[in-house]
Amino acid sequence: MSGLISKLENVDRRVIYFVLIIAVVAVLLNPIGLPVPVTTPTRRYHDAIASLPRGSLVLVGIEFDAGALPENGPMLEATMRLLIKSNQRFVLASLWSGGPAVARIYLDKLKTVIDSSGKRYGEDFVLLPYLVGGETAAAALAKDLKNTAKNDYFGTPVTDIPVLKNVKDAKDFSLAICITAGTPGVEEYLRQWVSPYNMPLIAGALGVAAPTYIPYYNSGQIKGMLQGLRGAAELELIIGAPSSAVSSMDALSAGHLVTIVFIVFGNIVFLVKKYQPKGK
Amino acid sequence: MAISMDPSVWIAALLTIFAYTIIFKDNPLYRIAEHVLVGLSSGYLFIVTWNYVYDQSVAPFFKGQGLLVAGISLVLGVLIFTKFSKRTTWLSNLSIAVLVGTATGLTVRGYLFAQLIDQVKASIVPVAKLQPLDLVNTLLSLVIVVCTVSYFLFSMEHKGTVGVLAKIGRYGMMAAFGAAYGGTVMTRLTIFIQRAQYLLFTWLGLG
Amino acid sequence: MSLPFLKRDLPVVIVCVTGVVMIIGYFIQAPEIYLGDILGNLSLIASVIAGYATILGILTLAIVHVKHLSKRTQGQWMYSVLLLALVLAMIGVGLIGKIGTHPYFMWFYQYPLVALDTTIYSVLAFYIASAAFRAFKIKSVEGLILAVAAVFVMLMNAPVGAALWGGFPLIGRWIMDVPNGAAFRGFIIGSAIGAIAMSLRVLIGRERGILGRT
Repeated sequence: MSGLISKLENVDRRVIYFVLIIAVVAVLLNPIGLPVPVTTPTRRYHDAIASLPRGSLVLVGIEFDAGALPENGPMLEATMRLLIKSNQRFVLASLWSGGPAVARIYLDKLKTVIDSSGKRYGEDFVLLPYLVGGETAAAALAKDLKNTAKNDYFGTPVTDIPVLKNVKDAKDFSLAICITAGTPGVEEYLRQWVSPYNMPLIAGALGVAAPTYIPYYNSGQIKGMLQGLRGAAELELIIGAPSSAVSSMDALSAGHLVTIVFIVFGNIVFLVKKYQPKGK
Repeated sequence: MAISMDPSVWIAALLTIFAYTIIFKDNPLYRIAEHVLVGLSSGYLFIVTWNYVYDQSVAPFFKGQGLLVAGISLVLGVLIFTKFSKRTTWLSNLSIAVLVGTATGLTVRGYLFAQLIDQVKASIVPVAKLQPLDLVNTLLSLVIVVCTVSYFLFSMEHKGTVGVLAKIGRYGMMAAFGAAYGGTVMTRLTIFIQRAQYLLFTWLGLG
Repeated sequence: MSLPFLKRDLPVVIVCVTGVVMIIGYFIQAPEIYLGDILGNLSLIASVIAGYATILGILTLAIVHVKHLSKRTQGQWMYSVLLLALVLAMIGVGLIGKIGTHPYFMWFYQYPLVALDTTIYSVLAFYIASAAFRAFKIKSVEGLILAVAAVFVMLMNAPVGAALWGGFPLIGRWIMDVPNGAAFRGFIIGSAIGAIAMSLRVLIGRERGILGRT
């Protein structure tokens, strides 16, 4: 018995990796279709956008880059679909270097949706270039947008862009959305957009960061929140456009179950060894 | 099964596999992947940063507008490069001082309202009209907030009342770390699942 | 102004003046002295300085790898060649036409860079699984609380939790809102006090370390 316990305790980590890979791949190839109930923070995120008067100007902060694309990307896609569907105008800005490139990936992906909605670049939405400086850039953008981003991503002077015609500072926006993988992100927007200008803010956060933003959500500083891929999947379901997030949910369930089983099994092995009579 | 014939997909898939070899051990394939990532990231960052810096500190001279701010930005920005010489490195401190002073001013006013006052206000909730469960949750939250802050009072020994408060704070923090661990598992699994989907569906054409 | 003043004290004076102007401008409006414009332009200048500092960092990285190449550092120099070649390729392609908009520039980002960045991040999933079995041992009350909270939050995040038992997402939600929310609120309040105290020390010149070598 102690030999078995010892073997289990020192199991090769490659066995553990193999179990995880098999579980995820098996479910990806044979999806189960578990239901995904929608939670209140996601519902509030959706309602914050859908309840805006048509034609409102929204700031979308793309505060992530390639590494967080699998989790934040579906949030951005679903958010842009919702903004287009509810006929809002939006400005895509980023304090992360990879943000504009990510925006271009999703603008290309949603080209058909954008074209069929009649929305036009420059008139209904615009992409700003990477704004260097983190919190100082966020403050500068809130204070004087056209002085901070002199041109759009493609080099057109912002003074020539119709959607920014009457925009001076944060007060000209109806809502700020921050889809973030870390810093700069939610807290910078809270300090430089929400607190000084009373700007309503909703956020899409990585699963690892969502617990740290709960105090802001509970205090009402963040009006709605997408928490990780689960939040993205819920939003996709609400807007009726299931995409990559929904298709990953079953595999996510499999991965979580495997991790929980490892925690439980590892502790059983530990307890058996701890309370095993000596000499056996 | 229709394996992709797109060379871009093949490049991405092979680099993915190269990078995954690290889970077994360090090896030349992983080192290639690592250096490709660092090289591309650095080049990309240079371009997007230069784009912003050029628009703010160089382009205004060609347009004849905003010369004062552009001039100050350009001078202070170029002074940063004096860091390469020990004799002139002190000049870069002038630029850093502007950056630090501005950021510090933003920090003080930002933290004071958004993260101190608003969060303290949110902890103090009128309890008279709350439902019983909400009342319990609100009081429990207040206790945990106070206990967590008292855990970080290192200028007094954690004994007696302070010790009890700190212990409760520690239990609250463990729950928070557990929640963060749960979130971390979701994030990392999500990214792995996306990579697996790319390899299985986009590259190999399965499913 | 003497050289010691310029080297040692002037940066501290600049930190103090810029910081105080940023704080005062938040509380008072003074359009007659263009205070609002000064604040906006200070933030802008600071962000441009940060940009030049970023470029300095990239140059430093390149210099490190050029040194590896020139010294033919064993086991490293070939990788340095690859790295420097890709940096130059990315910069070259990025400077074609309007900076950073060329299709090849986007291709480099969308295919190799996204693939590698996401893969490196995802490697931790395997280490988490391995640690869950081999290292996550509950040896105390604190460990038990952490493990229970983690399990319930995981079952809240994954749809399988709700499918197994409706209580999992409910309890997970409660853990997120009450103990987790309260503890992180404590962190936020504590770190805000610390950040303000540290900022005041910087503004009054008691923290010179941030300014680097003189």
